Amino acid sequence: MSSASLTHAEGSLVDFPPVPESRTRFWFVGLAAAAAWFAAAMVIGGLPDIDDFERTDLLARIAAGLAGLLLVFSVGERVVRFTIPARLRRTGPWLLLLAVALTAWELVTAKFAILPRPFFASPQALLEVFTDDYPRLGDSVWNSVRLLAGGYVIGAAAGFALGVAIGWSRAIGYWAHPVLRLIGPLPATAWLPIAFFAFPSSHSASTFLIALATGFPVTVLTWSGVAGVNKAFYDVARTMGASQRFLVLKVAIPAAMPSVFVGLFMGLGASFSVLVVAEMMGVKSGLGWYLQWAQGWAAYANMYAALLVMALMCTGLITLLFRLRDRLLAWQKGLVQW
Amino acid sequence: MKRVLPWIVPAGILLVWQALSQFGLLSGQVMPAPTAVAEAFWRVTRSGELWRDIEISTWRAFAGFAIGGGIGFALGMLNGLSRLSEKLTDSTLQMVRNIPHLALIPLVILWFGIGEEAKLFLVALGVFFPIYVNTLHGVRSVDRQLLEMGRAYGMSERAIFWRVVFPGALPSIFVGVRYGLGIMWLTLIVAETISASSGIGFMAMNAREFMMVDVVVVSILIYAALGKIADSVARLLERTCLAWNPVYAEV
Amino acid sequence: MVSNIVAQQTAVGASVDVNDVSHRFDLDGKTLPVLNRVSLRIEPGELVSLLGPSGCGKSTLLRMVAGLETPTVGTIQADGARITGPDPSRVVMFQDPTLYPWRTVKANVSLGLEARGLLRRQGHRVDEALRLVGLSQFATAYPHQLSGGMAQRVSLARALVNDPKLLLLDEPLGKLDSMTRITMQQELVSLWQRTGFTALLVTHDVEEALFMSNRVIVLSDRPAAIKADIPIDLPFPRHRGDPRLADLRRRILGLLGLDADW
Ligand SMILES: Nc1ncnc2c1ncn2[C@@H]1O[C@H](COP(=O)(O)OP(=O)(O)OP(=O)(O)O)[C@@H](O)[C@H]1O
Ligand SMILES: [Mg+2]
Repeated sequence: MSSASLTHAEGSLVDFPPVPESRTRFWFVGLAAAAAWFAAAMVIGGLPDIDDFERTDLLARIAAGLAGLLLVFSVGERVVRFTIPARLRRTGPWLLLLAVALTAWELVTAKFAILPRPFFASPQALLEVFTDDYPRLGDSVWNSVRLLAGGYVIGAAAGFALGVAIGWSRAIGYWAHPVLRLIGPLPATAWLPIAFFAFPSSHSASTFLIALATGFPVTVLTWSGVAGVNKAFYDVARTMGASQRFLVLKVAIPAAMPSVFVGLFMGLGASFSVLVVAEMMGVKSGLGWYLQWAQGWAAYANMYAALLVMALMCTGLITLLFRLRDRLLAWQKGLVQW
Repeated sequence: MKRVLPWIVPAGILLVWQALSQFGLLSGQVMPAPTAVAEAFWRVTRSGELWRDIEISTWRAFAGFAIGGGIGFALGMLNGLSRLSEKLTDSTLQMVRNIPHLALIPLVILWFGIGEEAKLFLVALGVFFPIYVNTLHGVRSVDRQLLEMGRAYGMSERAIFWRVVFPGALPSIFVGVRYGLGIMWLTLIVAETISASSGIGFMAMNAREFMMVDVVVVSILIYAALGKIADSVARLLERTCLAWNPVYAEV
Repeated sequence: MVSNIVAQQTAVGASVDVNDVSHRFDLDGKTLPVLNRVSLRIEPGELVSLLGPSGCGKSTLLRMVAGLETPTVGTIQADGARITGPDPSRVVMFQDPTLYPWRTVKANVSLGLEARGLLRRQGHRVDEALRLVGLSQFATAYPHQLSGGMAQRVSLARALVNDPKLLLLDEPLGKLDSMTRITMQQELVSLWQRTGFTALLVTHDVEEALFMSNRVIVLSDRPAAIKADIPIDLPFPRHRGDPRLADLRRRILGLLGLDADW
């Protein structure tokens, strides 16, 4: 075999043996968190309330239960063969902080009413909303998600298709550019009054507005992604006999995906705002409407509860999109810092 | 000629729209004809109502922007420069960021009533996040080597801030400003529509009550124009402030 | 150890005829003449190097042979048929590996077959091409996990899988370190000897041209015309210390306007 052989040993891909895990250290943070939750339970259950709240007991029990669980986890690791999931371990400091924050909040509201009374709700009042008003709240979340999903999917799909078309075809870009320039600077909420006139139902009007709010950033970023694809990528595929279809589907679109996702994230943020406003102004359902309804009754606790749920919902949806991106753009890892 | 040609499409749409309205195919209740919109524009301008509303809306927009942007900028700088301060505040801020600020409208109304504070608060809150996030990002992405070099040359911390950190973060801050301007109008529109007794949003809302769709369209166009002007000014500022940066030299 | 992919291709390479080609680019409204009446014939199975000053139009000529660009004046033929567009029988290997970062090594190599809808039936050739360049173990790696030399080898495998009759190489080794570069030069030559495709190599490196090719074509400054067409009748494998190569080297450097006294 000549020295010019092409079969090179490129170094074998060694599978490293798993690093033997040293005996994990005792979970002190967990124990501290257990103590903090226990203290919270004592404060909530022990000190008298300034007013009669119905759910004080339940709240105290929940806090005590959490304290017990944390105690079992942190001590149990030593006693029985059992390892604390790494994720739980990582949240330790947060659990501790949460207990402290809850205690403080409890003290300044329910126990001593240091914060002005109607404006700030106590933890047990919030809990009461969840235990007593959950059908309405759950229904609102469901309606919001449905409305949002419809508009978002339509907007994202249309924006993606339009963006690819504009980025790919000079002719389409040429004609579409001024239209985008015209409607681009107009905030989606500005369409609200006219949309409620122009569409047969407030639901369809809201779907349109959400789609619009999503579609614009997705269009622009897909377009710039497609337009920014390294021209050499096309040359490579063309010399190997690729059709136009192949160039669009297998070169332009995958190369533009990182940019598309930036658009999808921006669109998601914008669509939340439009969703809430549309629900307040037209659609008589959903979290936005719930907030509006709570305002009518000056029901602060319900409002805070709804805001909390909304924060969870938005965070959840954003996390979902992050997951999707991580799956689809796994190849990008190691190229850019996230 | 090449630059004019693509505008034919929007112009064509306008013509078709006018024609459809003329022949009664498009109800004036849904979409008033362009000429009707122009007439409405003339009407509200002459009555002086429009200028007052534009003035008050612009004032609200920029006052809110100054408050929210100022706090966002200061906090972004602080958190960018001090790890301790970032540890303390950043994760809380990131959590709050996920709630769309417009969802706070009912709460804000209960807190502040429907006075000016409510609108300023909402605009400021909306503008705060993009400016905060981008300032922080800008400071963080300032070239470490430049910082070291400044220190090596014995520049004072003050000088390092004004000569290295601030100019380095500026491109990112401008991104935040332009994004924030968009949110500023978006917020103001809603805030004025829901709770106000003056301003363009109120004009639109009022017109909607009385089914004057043409005035509604006029107010939308005015919002678009204001948004466009604010964005152009920001761009101009960006280009003059960042003339040293090759990315902004042309286009 | 000659694999199938090589055995199949004892069919010979294409011939190339460049007939009186001139080319101009539009640069901001001004015309920039790049090629000036270039005529050239490459016999089947030859490995011809193009040398010339930077910016003279070497890459442009290569892109025209690939069918990525159309000459302003004149025609180019491959096996007697006029070249009007890209064709999988003529594959280009660029200076950058230009691997698709979103595809694994294997998927990158499959590109040509996939583009022509042959992947189902001829998928095994992908593995063979990878084996040929010694990267079978990295089939599932992503491009950012490869070294520069490995990436360039993937790019070579991606070209070879198409069974090219004409391989167009635009400074394929330009960005490699000198050691990897020498190894890759040897590998390319041995591959070319075994398979018999025709190759056109653009390079900046006089040594590389002398070491690898049957003929060296020296182009003049822009607009490029052929300055010299130097056959190199030495057997392969060549030795870098060969005094005849040293003579040729001096002559070529002289043609390029560099005194080779040192
Ligand atoms: N698409 C294009 N549009 C306008 N001018 C071009 C284009 N491509 C190349 N040129 C010009 O043509 C000339 C020759 O370019 P080419 O890439 O062929 O040079 P080269 O000989 O390969 O140079 P190098 O050795 O540095 O790679 C250059 O002056 C370049 O500016
Ligand atoms: Mg070149």
